[in-house]
Amino acid sequence: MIHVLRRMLILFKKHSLDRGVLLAIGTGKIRVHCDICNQPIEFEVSSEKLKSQKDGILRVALAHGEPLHVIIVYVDKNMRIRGVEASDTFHMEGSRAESFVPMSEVAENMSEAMGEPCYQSLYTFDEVKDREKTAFVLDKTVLRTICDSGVISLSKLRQKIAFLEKALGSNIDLAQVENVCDRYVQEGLIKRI
Amino acid sequence: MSFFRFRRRKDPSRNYLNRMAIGLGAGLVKARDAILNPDFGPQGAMDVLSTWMGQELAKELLNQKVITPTSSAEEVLEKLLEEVRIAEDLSIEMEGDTAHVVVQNCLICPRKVGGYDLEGQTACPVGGLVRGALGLVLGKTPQLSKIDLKTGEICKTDFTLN
Repeated sequence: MIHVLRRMLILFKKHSLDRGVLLAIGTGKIRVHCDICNQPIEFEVSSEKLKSQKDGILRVALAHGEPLHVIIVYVDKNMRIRGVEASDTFHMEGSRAESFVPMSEVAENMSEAMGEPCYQSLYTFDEVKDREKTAFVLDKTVLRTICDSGVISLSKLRQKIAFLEKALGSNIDLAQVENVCDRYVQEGLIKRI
Repeated sequence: MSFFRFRRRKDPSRNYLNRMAIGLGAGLVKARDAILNPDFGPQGAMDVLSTWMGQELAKELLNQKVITPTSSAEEVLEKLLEEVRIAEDLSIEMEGDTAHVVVQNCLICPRKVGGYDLEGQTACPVGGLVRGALGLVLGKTPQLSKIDLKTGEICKTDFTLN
């Protein structure tokens, strides 16, 4: 997720405008006004995350609305909003090869996946990585890929983890990947859609 | 001028170290791109390398006829863990397609036996060793459905063979 946020930040910096009218409310909760949809957006930030920022500024990308759009909020250590940037366009990260896939293509991919299971992450990988620290590398890679992708079909997932076949010296078939996914579904970390 | 010549005494039980070194070398080459990725972590790297070591150990067990290609999963597990002497205390319980492996008093734990501070990480090779060995002998790769590692204490791993 962090990778996605960083990529978004780089992408949107070029096209951004300062449009923020903001208010910090309560501990951990912050409200920001989005000038694109003209709606107030409320979000939470953990104080730990704020403290861990080397430059003292936490950058939060908020994807919301219909059609989906993003604003990036800069929050300082005192939970005060230091700035807001709004994106003019929105692209989803398509793969770990740092390419961006437009929403239309994501929709197309999803329609291609008709009839096969898709998986949706319910948490960011950072939120579950401690819990999964000892998981076998295949399982952890599957979970990480789903978390990074947001929603992904089984065959795309299999493609993305194919590099492990060479590393492990054995074939990883769809059934194996599906078994791993089903276990994570049972554990409530991802959702089958 | 002096001349020394050393000849290896035939002792098949010592071949396991050679096999592990072969597996380690092969694994390092085949998985170098993955291992160099910082996201992989120490346990991920150990999983990959120990899978290769497990395959090589299984080849040696077959060579020495400790196991045969028709050996059951339970038998392969038992012989692998016994011959390689992973732990003082080890139990395997088969429940349908699932093998519950419990390792106590581990003899290869970098923390307990080696005395190294693992900095909160794990680097257990048991899962990879078993996965590699069973995959080679049975021709189907087991899933590691549950892993509970408590370095230096009791480690439990479930393998599903379906």
